[in-house]
Amino acid sequence: MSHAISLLDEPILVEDNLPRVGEILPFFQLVNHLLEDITLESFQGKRKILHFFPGIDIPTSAHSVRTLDNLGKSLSDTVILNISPDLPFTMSRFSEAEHLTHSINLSTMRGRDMFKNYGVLIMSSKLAGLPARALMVADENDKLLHVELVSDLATEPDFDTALRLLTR
Amino acid sequence: MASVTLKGNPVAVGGKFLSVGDTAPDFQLADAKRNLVGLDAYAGKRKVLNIFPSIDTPTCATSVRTFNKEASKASNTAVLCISADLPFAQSRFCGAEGLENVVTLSTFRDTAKFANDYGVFITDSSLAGLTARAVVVLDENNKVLHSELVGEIANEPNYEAALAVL
Repeated sequence: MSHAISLLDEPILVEDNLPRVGEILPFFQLVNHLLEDITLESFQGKRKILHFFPGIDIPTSAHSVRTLDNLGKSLSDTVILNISPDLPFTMSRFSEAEHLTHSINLSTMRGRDMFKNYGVLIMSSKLAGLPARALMVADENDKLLHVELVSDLATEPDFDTALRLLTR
Repeated sequence: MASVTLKGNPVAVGGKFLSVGDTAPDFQLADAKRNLVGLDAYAGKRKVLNIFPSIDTPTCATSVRTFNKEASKASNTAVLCISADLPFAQSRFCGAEGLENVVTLSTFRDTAKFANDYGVFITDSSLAGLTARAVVVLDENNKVLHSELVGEIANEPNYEAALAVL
């Protein structure tokens, strides 16, 4: 099963099992900037912002990562997770050059199960295998408070709506 | 299963690495525009496959720069720089460095398939999931003229030996 988003009016199919508000975050295992395996449990007790994007060297993604890192300065007990198939070296190069310190970069370099399990895996077009743009917010018990799958890949997620849930 | 080292520590590499005289298996890799290309995209040319873990590490970057410089001297030869980096990252690097004599190809659609077919799949250590450092030179018929699986991932490949067969 799949459903469609678009890029410049071209339809793109995405795996259709996006988690819903109220559900508990599915398990994931990713690789951090030190090339260590990291799971959902690594962030136990923290609120979480999960930011999925197809590649940090795409200007729209780069802008989102900067925006979110800046917003992260005012949030307490919250981890911001940037999740993409970029290699950890690539994401570190970006974050160091931009002096970003309020977000955590995680790579799917050892497997893309998370994209499938989180309903963001692109299944058609030249971007097949990459994740769509998505933003999810979970509370300290990993319960989802907000889920946005961006319908036009050329645009950014709605950060304000998501962040309001954590600051009120 | 071959073994190389990373800063002295053993690293397992899956698949059977190509030897001189073998015919290289075809591949499907994504170019800078995310189009899938196979060996036939370079039909009739000799090919240098410069395979490495990531373009955003210093040794890999050096190898791409060096092959870019030397590639322009070899006639009828395509230099293909292959890694699990996304095409966006590969393009950023080559654009920033002004490298025009090399082609970058990404394994992002299926790193395991390419890496196993070519015997360069790192299966343990901190680099598990990436391609090892290797150079394979093919003639016009995709027959292997030279192959080097670099024994220590932190070291550069032997450029002279690779270029000598061309």
